[in-house]
Amino acid sequence: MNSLALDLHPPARRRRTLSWFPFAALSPSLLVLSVFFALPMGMMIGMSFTQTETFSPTLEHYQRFFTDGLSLAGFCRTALMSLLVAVSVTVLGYPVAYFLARSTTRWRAVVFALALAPELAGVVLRTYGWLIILEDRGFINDLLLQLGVISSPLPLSKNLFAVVVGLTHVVLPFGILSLMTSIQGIDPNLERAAQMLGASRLAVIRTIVLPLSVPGIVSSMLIAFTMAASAYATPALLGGAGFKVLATMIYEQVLFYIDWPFASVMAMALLLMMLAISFVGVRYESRRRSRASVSSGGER
Amino acid sequence: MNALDIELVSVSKSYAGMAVVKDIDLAIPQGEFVSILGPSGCGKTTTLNMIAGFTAPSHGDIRIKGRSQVRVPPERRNIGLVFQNYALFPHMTVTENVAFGLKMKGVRRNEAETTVKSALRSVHLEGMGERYPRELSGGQQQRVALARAIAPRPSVLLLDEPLSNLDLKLREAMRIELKEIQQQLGMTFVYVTHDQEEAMAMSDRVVVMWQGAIAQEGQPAALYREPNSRFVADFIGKSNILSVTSTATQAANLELAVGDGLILKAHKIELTAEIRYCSIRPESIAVLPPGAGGSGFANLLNATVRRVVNLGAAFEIDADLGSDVRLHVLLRATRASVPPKVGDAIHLGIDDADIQPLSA
Repeated sequence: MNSLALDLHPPARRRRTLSWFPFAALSPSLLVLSVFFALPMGMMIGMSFTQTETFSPTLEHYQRFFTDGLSLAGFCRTALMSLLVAVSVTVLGYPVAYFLARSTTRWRAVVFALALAPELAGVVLRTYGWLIILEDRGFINDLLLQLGVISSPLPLSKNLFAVVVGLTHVVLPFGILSLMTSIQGIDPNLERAAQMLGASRLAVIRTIVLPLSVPGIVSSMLIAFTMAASAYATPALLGGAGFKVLATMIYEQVLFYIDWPFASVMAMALLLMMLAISFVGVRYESRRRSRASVSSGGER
Repeated sequence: MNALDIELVSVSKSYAGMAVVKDIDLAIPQGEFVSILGPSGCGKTTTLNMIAGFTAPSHGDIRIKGRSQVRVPPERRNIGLVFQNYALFPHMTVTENVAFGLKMKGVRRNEAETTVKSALRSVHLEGMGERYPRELSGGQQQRVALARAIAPRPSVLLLDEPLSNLDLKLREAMRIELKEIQQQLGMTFVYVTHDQEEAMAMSDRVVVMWQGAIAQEGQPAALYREPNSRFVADFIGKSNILSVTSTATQAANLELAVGDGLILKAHKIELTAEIRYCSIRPESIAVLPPGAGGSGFANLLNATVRRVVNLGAAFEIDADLGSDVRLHVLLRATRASVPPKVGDAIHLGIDDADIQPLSA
């Protein structure tokens, strides 16, 4: 009896000593996060509900967001732009990711370096690069004009197209990495098995690799969407004055109109858009997982 | 009837100058169960991959039903392959897995359904069709992999160590079952394994590979009885391998000098190369009671018992013949047999036919 009690105590005490340690270890980052993240976030939420002069609670900023037309248009433009970037990053990144996941040749290292190289140059630099290529008197238009293919410059810059191109370039490495990780998790023998059963290269991709890399596709699209929706420099530079998304509109409200409450409302809209998209993605993934576990639980 | 299903004609494979498979010739007739047996790194998996089409041979030709396959991609070779880790498609049910090959071949739906059913029946998995691979045990997954491979009726089925992930009991049961399935289908099986027992139990013919080349091929019993090299004698079953110091041909026998002045009489054979070793299977040595006469053994040897290990069905006796020669003897445990004790002097009888001279 006595020895049993003795046996039970030490682990309990050890558990208690352990419990404060993670918090102690986390405290510096918790401190930084609470001061520089939670606090401003709280202030932003508060500001979006505050009347500018009287400091009384109000919904007028939200009302303005939904009624002035421009704000909702910007919201929709942001969503459309981010969706296009998510799709183009995933579609363009997939073949590269597949190659990186499966290749064993020395070309793998070269392609890997090329795929990630864009991250070495700053966003602004890359965006100016695209401007030089896409401008009315840029590389492409110049070439086509001189070849006589077109008689007046194509509208390649200062629009949605240019922004999607620029953002795709910025976000692509992240999409490739998340797709690559997912494809690497697929047993290569599955592809060989399918091949032995008569599946062509294309059929193997369609019936085996694509369905099994759906989690990677979802996360690639999530990353691309959120990165695109929160990007400022690329839409500002490549979109021109007429192309307004939430990020550039918030910047305008803060710096030109000094309307912080309205900027907060727009930031809230952006935040909610991204939360909603992430929720859909995470929900999809957890549904897929629970489907798997429910059916495996059926055996018992 | 005796058409060849697979022919390997002086096939070699080297990676960056390193020869992995060296000049292999192999002809596998239709309906045969052939095992490619060898330790890891002997080139057996490379050989399998060349037959499957995942690896191109550096030299030589691979023919299936007489037609060269070197330029044919795996998906058009009409070969089935069962993987060591089964490689079942996790996002498909058992039925979908088994139907995959038929779908890729464009087999009509109702026809495919019947074929899938009969494939599942032949591996005893009726009624499991709606399950997913993760809901099955290892043995069941193994059966699904087999059903999936045989459903499209390939001309040849390759099996890459398919039983090595199963526990011993199941492995032994599956051996018998695999052999039965093969005989029912009349399909050519090429079975790659490092497990000599498995190869012996199932095969019509065993091809022993060592260091990238074929060491010996033949029926399991013949390989066991007449290994042609020290490696094969040692790799297949257990054997006493003694170094031979000199040979002398007598009227009736071949006399092999082993150890320090000990002479063993073996069957007379045509000498083509210097005899360097001889192999004696432990169970072919008779333990004779002291005082027993010659009783017809060509070799009658005096020995001292050094160690006796009770294996249940048999006793393993470590017998010291003096002159630095020791033999492992397997004495079957019967009601009548009394095992000798350590230190006992015993007589060992060995038939001349049971001493296999080896030149390598």
